Amino acid sequence: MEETEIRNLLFEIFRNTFDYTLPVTDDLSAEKVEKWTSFTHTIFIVEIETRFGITLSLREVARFRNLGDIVEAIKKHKA
Amino acid sequence: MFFQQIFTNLNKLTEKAAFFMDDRYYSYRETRNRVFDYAQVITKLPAASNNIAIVTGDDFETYCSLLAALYLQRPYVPVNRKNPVRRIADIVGEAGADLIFCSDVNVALELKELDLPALKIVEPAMVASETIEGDAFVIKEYDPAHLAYILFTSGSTGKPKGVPISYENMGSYLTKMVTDPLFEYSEADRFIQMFELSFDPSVFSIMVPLYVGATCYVVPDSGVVFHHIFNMLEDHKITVALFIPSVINFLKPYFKEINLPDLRYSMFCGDALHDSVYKGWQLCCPNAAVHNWYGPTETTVICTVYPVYPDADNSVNDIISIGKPLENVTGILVDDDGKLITDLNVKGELCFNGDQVINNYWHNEAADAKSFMLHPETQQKFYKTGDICFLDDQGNYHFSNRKDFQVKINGYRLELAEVEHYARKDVNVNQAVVVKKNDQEMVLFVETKDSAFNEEELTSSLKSFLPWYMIPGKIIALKQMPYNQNMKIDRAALLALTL
Repeated sequence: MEETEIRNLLFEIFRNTFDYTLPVTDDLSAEKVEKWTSFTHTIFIVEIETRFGITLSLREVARFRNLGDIVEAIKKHKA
Repeated sequence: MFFQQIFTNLNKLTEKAAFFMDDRYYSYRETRNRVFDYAQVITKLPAASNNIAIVTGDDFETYCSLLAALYLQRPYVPVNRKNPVRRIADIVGEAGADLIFCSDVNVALELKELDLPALKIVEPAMVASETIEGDAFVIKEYDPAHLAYILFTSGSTGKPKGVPISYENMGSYLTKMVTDPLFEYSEADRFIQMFELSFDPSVFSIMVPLYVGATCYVVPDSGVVFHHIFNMLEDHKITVALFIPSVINFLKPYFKEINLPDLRYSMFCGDALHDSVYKGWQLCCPNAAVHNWYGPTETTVICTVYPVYPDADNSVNDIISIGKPLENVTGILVDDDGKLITDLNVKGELCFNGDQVINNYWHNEAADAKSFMLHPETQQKFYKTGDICFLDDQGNYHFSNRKDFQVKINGYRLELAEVEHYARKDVNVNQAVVVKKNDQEMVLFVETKDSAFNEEELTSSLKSFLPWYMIPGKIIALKQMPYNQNMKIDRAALLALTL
């Protein structure tokens, strides 16, 4: 899976999960998105795992600082 | 002596870390200096009221303003900064405070726009760093009758309800926490503080480490909080943690990855702790003593303790016992008519009296009349918790359900917790909550992340355990339960989904 493909799908999941209508960039983090909380994050991760067909570990998800970090993690799983 | 010890420790001016927050350490010296700065400002500002409101935050300035109020023996009123600014103003008005500390520039700006001329808003930039090494806290006696803090909870009429905690209440609770042989904390301990300051478990997580000269690690309150908690537990080798069970529910899918050998004490409060969750968690922290704590705000943080043992039969309906009352409090059970229940295993409303228990709400006679009663025999005043519990033959209380949640469906009185218990037996169900929709129907909400979840199978399983009138009329699967600001399951939000 190409990086652009990963990024596009991830951003689509992000927009749908958080009803986010503003431009989405790699540096978006939970601190900057009001609806991105502990509760919605769980839904977001489950959706990522389902759509990409991967399983993320706690150590991976707990270190995500922003969407760019999630792209990198998915890339490793899909490599 | 508890409070005096905190300020004696700060006066020692050591380079030992008192706090870790905002990604850095703050020593006892830095903390002493900044608390002293705030104390100077408070002393100089004219105020008609003793009470000091504090807009809560996860930053050093907010914590120092709170400690300054404690040092000056001025009651503090923490107000959640995530509340709408109108509600913040309402609570400040109810508390009668005319001084408010606010480290959040946006909230401060919104408060100023409300144009409340009597309210003095103090921001960190207005508190000069003027304390010198020679300055020292004067260690004074605390009048037990004076108020230490007032917490406001939502009242049924929409008007916030104030819970005034005196120095006797707070000192009695905290002293018990550091003298009970169940807990042996030392200055080498690393405590985690994950609670918003208007949620009273924070009192334990802040005050106890300062008393023993240990370090308090403060979890950032924005973003994905349970990630912050896990990272902090692991990165800083936390040794003492008071959790709310929902945090562990978030971590549950990852239990196999978690290993926290440094954790010595793992306490739970604020919501029912399920045995199935505890058993998985205990494997994650093999060296930790696990305790289930219970207590309404009115009894000062917690008033019963249950040490959970791996091999013991700890639970009923998968809910772990809340244990025995602390020595400072007396617990009784009463029936609907206020009569004392003395038989074992008979349910009634749990009521408390003692040094940790408040005598009345803050200027709210209607709430006082509803929530307090006189003991049928001794005529002592008891606080009615609204929690339905029973006592077992070991002298431990068991939480059954909230009095408000006791429901009758089609004329049958039933326990929602029992339905929830059997729903959780489904391997694909992470959480289960039942709400009463009307007198004929209840709705079961299940949190399930697994596409293998099958509603028909769950209904069939429930029918094999429960009588027909206990079978929910509808099952709604959610990927995630809604939680309120204190990370408790938001039943009101679930009820709204049924309408």
